[in-house]
Amino acid sequence: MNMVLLMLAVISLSLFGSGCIDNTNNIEKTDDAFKDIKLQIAGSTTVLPVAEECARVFMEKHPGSRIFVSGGGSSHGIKAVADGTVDIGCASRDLKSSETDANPDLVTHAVAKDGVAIMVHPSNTLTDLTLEQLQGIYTGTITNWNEIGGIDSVIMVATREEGSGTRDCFEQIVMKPLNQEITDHAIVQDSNGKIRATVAGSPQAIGFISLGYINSDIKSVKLNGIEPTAQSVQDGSYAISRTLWMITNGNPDSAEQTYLNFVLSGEGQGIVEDVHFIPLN
Amino acid sequence: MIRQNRERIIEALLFISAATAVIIVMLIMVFLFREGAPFLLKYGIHNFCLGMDWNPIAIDGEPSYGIFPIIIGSVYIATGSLVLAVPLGLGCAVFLVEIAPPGIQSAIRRGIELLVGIPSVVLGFFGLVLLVPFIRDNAGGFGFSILAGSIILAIMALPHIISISADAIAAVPQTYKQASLALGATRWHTIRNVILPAARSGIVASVILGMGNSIGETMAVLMVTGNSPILPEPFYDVLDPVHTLTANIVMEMNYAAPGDHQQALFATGIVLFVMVAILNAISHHVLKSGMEVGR
Amino acid sequence: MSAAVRTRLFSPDTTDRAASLLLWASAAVTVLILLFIIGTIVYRGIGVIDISFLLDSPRMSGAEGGIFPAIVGTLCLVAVAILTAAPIGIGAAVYLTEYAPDNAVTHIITFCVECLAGIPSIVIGLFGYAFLVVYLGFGFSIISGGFALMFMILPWTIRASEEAIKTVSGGLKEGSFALGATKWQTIRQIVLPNALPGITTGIILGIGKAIGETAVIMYTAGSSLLLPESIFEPVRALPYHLYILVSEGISDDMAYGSAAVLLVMVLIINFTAVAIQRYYQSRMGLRH
Repeated sequence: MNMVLLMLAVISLSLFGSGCIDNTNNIEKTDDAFKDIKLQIAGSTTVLPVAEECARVFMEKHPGSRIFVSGGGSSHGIKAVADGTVDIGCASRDLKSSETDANPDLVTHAVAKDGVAIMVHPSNTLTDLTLEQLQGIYTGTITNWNEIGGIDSVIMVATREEGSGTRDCFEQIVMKPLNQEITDHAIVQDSNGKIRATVAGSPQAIGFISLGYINSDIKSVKLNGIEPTAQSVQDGSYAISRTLWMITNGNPDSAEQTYLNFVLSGEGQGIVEDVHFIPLN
Repeated sequence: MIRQNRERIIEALLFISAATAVIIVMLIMVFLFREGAPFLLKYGIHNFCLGMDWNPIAIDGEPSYGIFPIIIGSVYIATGSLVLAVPLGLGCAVFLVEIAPPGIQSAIRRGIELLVGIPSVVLGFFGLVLLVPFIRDNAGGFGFSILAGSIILAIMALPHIISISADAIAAVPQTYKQASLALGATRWHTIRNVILPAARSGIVASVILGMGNSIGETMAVLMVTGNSPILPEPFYDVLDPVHTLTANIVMEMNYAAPGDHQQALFATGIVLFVMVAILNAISHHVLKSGMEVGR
Repeated sequence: MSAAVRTRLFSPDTTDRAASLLLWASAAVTVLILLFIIGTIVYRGIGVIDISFLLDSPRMSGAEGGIFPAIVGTLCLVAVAILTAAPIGIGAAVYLTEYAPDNAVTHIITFCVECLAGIPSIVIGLFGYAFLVVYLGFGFSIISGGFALMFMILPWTIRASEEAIKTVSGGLKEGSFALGATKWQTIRQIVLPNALPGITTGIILGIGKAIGETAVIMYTAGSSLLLPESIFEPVRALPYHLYILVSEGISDDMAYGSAAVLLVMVLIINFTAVAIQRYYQSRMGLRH
């Protein structure tokens, strides 16, 4: 037994030794106004890049402040801020009535806007879709690309999971007018990166994705002749868009307000743009 | 007296360690049932488990929470992965212990232990960018399929099956083997009729753990199975996409609103838990009767 | 002998050769899969790994910068998990193999161990959030994440240790009892040292599982990129960092680089464990 314990001790020492040698003495250079700022943020992985990059720059500017940013999803962020586990929750969808009913104190703060683009494989010859065609594809009535002027090939419909903010946003504009569901035969992926990889790997695929994730692996198509851009989302001409939120329990306290002010400042909104979302104004 | 007391205290401590697993499982059960059971009773266990339609956020009309196709999907994927991983893993374990030269054996074993540490998201990503297009181009369908999920899961189950079975096989006393060979049995006969039966307990343990692993695995499988909550058509088409219980929970929990949707996901967890318990009970029974015959 | 009669269709020699071939083939397939996966990760990942990748903090959500906080986070989480899982797991295995009477309680314990192995990691993660993070008030922290990981790897440690202990021959134990040793002395001096290789396998598999796990820690350890100052602070584990890189499509190169680093970490830990095991065995003059 001794040696088993010893063996464990050695493993753990080597682990801890390499792990926890980080107690730097940055307390000396603490900026008095910010030394008390210790914030926990959690929630939507879509909002994560905004929250994280803002936190990083914020901490650089205000040494001594500590902001912990975690993912976990919108529901998780809303639950965690309501539970008091974190100070600020992040959500990529609007609060549901069940959430506001259970936690009437939650206060939402818009931090960025986002558009949802329709994408196809780069080899697809299509450049423009009408809303009716899109609706046909997603309800499952149009199943072959040749029905809308493409090549003879079965359409592979890709969608996000139920509850996703991106899907919610897509459904509000595309599916809601028909009161119909997205076809059960659709391939479901649960993140922007995975749905992009799905469409990038399948010549017959169509999917939708957060605007900032468009790259050369896939091709975005116009909807009713309007190209999805930051400009067209901001002026409202491109229909499929949403707001990204940060949420506090009650009105923000001074530490929370300081961070939120930074996110909403010119510099914070610049970061929003850097991580491929659309600034509020 | 002191010696006796010490022995008793040690036995008590060991019992507590063993009971830890029970306590954890109980706590998890209490937690799952507290969150999911009210919904199950309200919606009806029958409607939930045998319902064909999973549509928790209805655009029009009432949401529906049927998980029958998802249960079937989980069963397909777990079975498929075992069908691939058990023969391969067992063959590899026998090879390592009985045939491979010592140098090769330890090299392969270290490599296999390394395979355990590859995060499932990496394997899933591999599946998504390599395996799915490969299946699509060579076998047909969209590539997102039962087959793709089974292959990825089999790769994840392999190291566990190999490591634990190899240990069990290596532990079979040399005398058994020598006696068999001395009686004129060939090497294969010895492996099949002496070594494998003698190592059965460890092998079955590895398969049970591997199966639990397959059903419970989350991150990799959901990237390659397509997650369409429908039954394959025809039912034996392994190139059709399916949804699994774990994927259902992990994909939707992050964004599900509290209330019925979230509770339905916890209820999915209960179903999963019950399935694993039933499977374990069956394999326990098989293992026990197998050992009695073996004696 | 009935089996021999049934296979008479082919001569024993042919069967033997065919079986050998199959065994070779299954090992070859496994090794090829292994080489392919590891090879691809290393090939794609090696390009981004340099000193600054290892020692810098991520910038732009990981698209730039390094992965140092995630390496630290992973090591801390795995250390907590294995330091708790190993003693409990080995203790449980000793109890189940050496002490447990063949009664209902024992059956329940074995059954629960197997059920725990089958509980999906996401359920353990959600439970960890409700129990450790909220109910026990640990918050998103190394300790919450480490304990949740322990719940996950415990059954593997128990089962592997159990199998290892079962293999220790009865003769050795009887000899020890005959010399007047108590049960615990026998276990400590005879059973555990002889079972060490199997126990090590169990611990290595446990570390491997814990180090690559995402679902369990995302609700328990948080994912902060700050370096932790105590075990009550949140950390980001490397696989979760990887998960974010891949699923948010931030950077495939950085993801492969992180995966390669993770592989090297597993490798180092495995070799250390095996080396320690060998050292003790040679010192004790034990051979397997």
